[in-house]
Amino acid sequence: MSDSSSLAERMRRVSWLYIETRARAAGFLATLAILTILALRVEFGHSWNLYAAGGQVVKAGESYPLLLQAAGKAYQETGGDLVVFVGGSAVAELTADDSLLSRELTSRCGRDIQFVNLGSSRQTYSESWDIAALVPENRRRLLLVGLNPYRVSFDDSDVISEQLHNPTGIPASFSLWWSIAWHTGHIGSPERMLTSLARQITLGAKWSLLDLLISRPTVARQPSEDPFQPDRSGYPGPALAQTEKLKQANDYIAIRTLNFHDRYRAGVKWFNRLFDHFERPGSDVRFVLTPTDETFGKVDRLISNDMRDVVNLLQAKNGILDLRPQGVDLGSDDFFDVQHMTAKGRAKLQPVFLAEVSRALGCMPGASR
Amino acid sequence: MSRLIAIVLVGLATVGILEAINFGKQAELHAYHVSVSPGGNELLRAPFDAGQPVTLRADAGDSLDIELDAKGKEIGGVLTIAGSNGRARLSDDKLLGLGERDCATSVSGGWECKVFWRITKPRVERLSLLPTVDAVTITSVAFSTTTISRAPATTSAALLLFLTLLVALSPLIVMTRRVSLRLELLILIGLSAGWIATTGVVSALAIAAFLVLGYFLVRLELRRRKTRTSILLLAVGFVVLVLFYFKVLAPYASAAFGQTSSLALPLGLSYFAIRLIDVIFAARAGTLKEVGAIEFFGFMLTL
Repeated sequence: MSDSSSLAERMRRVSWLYIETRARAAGFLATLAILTILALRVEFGHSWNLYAAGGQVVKAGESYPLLLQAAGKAYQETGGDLVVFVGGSAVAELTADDSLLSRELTSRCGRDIQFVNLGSSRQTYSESWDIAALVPENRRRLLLVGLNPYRVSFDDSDVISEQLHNPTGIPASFSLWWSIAWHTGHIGSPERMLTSLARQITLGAKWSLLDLLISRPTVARQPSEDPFQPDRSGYPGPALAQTEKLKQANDYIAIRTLNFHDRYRAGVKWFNRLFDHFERPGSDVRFVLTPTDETFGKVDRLISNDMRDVVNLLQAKNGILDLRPQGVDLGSDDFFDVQHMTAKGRAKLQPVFLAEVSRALGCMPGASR
Repeated sequence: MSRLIAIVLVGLATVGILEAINFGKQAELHAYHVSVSPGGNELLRAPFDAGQPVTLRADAGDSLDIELDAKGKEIGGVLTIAGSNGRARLSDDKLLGLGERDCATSVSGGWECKVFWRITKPRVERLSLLPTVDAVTITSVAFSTTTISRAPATTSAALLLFLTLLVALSPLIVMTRRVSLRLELLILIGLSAGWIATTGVVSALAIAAFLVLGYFLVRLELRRRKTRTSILLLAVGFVVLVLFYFKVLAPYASAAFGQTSSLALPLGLSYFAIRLIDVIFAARAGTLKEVGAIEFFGFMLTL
């Protein structure tokens, strides 16, 4: 207990901030300025991607580190048009090696096009937004967003809870932070780098403190040996038996269709917000409906009305690349399970996919760009 | 003094009534037998009633849709599922059946499994129950609430934002000190009060009421003519009673009734309580001679 006879004296003795002289004030402001600059450097700098630099040992199949490496290589300040494909595992398994698709698109369009598939297992809506938000502003880009019933089955509480849950290690974006705050009133944490870096460290990234301030040069990864079996693929084996696929379809019906039915309207709203944010001059957005195995037809029959509604509700009516009803004869060997493609399936689908993307890039007759 | 006791009791009763109103909001469990229509283009949902066993067949794509409406609260509880003639699997891949973990043989010769289910989102949550191989018969599904998370008064994000704002404003606040100490104090009180208000109107009002009553108790202690233990006991008793209510009584009562409190623990209540006791004892010891309202609230809110 103190001897001061008034609370004012007690408060003065234990002031919340001792700045009574000019020297102390100068010291305080200088410290504040230095810490602010360092914090802003880490928060806004490009050095967050520890896997972009060389020296990181990443094996085929390590999907998250591979995604970070791919993003680090693709998201350079200079280069041609960028085609970024985000989505869940169905997207990650949909296309061939990025280098092959980049070459094909460059050849078709007659200009430098860089394609990068940044799909990942159970990629959340937030992650897709965050990956898209990292694309350098000075490059023309086409953003392809993979959609399926599972990806659209979320509501506000999912977006809020997953805002900082990024298994890939991609940092949360300020633009999504703002969008969530604006549309739901939920104020998320403004800090985004610590969780991102912590996640990359748990994934085994080698790093030093200097890496947080100065980004190291990006090192290109060697193309996959089989271009139709890219390193990121998590389904290298032969396709499952039909009975297994039917069991998966039944599981899908039991576990996901009701959630999809209840929540797709909320999910579509968020995808429309993503479209509104990223669609602008020099930046196009296309939603991609991915193909599925014939056993998935059992699910399709149940959700067809809702899926039609999804397509109608999406603002990007002209921006939907529907790869499902194309004239490609995809058989059961082309899908590992109900929705993940095999190398054979990728090879079959590639001409159709390239044609659709080329059209979206304005390189084909009937182009939309 | 009897008036003060009455004020304290009325305040506590008001909060108690608010809590009691919330007691009607029990978590609700619903279960539906889900199957695909013969045409294959429709999902059929029939309510599952306890006492009427339902057989789920794998080849037909049958499942049991278990829905829990926690009324927007964050709760945890035990889901008890009883069945026979096969094994079942939850959508999170947990296996249910004889010999499985957390499962036991029931009196009817079937099995009964207990699964902990935690609800963290303010919506109706859903679990699907499927047969593992050919078929399984489900006889009953029940849920009992066991844990209830008290709503946090604030989040780390909000705290971080407030601290950032405070650091950003600190040079300006220090400058106001040169103009007037009173002005600086008013600004700090305003910022602190604003911060507490962001944690919720009810919590903010509870803190405000606590501080106002505390202020009058300190004034009462300062105005006493001679040493009277009763005033000290009243003041300290008030603080302890409020703390006891929020820290012990409300959480235990909520848990006992399977409910969560409508009122989050007011932000910094323990801190304010300790400071208030410090001031009351300083007043009683005579080391504190006077106290103004702004000084008091500045002392409580800004240090």
